[in-house]
Amino acid sequence: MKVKVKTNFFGQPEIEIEMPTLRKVLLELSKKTKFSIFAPKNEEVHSDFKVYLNGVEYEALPHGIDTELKDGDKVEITMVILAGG
Amino acid sequence: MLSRKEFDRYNRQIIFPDFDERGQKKLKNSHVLIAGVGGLGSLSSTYLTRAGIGHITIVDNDYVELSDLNRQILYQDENIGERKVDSAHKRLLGMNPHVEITPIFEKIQKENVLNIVKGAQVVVDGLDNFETRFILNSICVKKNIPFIYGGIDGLNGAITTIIPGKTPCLACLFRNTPIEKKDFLPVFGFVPGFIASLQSMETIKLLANIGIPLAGKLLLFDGKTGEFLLSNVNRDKDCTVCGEE
Repeated sequence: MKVKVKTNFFGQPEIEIEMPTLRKVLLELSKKTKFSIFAPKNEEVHSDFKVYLNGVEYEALPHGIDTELKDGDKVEITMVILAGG
Repeated sequence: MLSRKEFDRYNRQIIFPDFDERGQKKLKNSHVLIAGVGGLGSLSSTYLTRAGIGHITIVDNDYVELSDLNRQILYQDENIGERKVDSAHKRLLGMNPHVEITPIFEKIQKENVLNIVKGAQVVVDGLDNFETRFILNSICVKKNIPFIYGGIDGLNGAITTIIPGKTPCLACLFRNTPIEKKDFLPVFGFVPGFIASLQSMETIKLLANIGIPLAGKLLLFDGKTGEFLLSNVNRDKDCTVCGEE
């Protein structure tokens, strides 16, 4: 299945995955960007990114980052602004 | 014209092939605004002063505190309690007497931002909050002034060079992202130091027209893993700040 992902840091890549979940999409995106979207120690989503499925933050979903995706789902991964200086 | 002393002072820059004397003269005739002289602005003002930018305006409405000294390298213990722009002004002039430094002790707001950016050819982000960044982003888009965004949080840093009308502005990239407000961010001095060094390089590249700036590219750095993400970013046609009307 092809999953179209909207990001504010890497355009809108299309990712092809069998039986996709949010986790698989993020892992594929990490491979494409060569940047870890998961924190290496605890495998949680890096704090600089927010992940939404159909407008709902992944943490609010019953299966969280392991939520299975279906055709037409809208996945959005956003880098948050680093505001310190 | 460069004086004999200026030739000697900037010799290691002038021998840079694509830069040479013409680049140095361009810097001398330039005016840069550094918005905020904290962790980022301490470093960028230092490098840009030493590099010979002719006129630098620094703006900040804060006072030096003890907890600033781990990263804000313009200041020392004896400056605690002083206005940052006053301490910075004195320190920067001591680094290079050929540079004119204009200190402005004001908080950047919608009402005064037009006056603050007046005459600047490049605006360098040294801010510590997103509200002021968006005010500055808007005026830079409106006045067609390049704006070099830099931001840090913990061991992470980000930078992009915004060229109004050509690259995405800060609002294209971040206006829909949630902002987590924190009273104090964790920070080691080398993280803003690293990002501010890149901002200084971007400024000089733009002013002297050398190299390829990070225009339309977002560089994200994760100090925990040493990973960099450099990606092309696009304008948002529906952007409320720079979108097509």
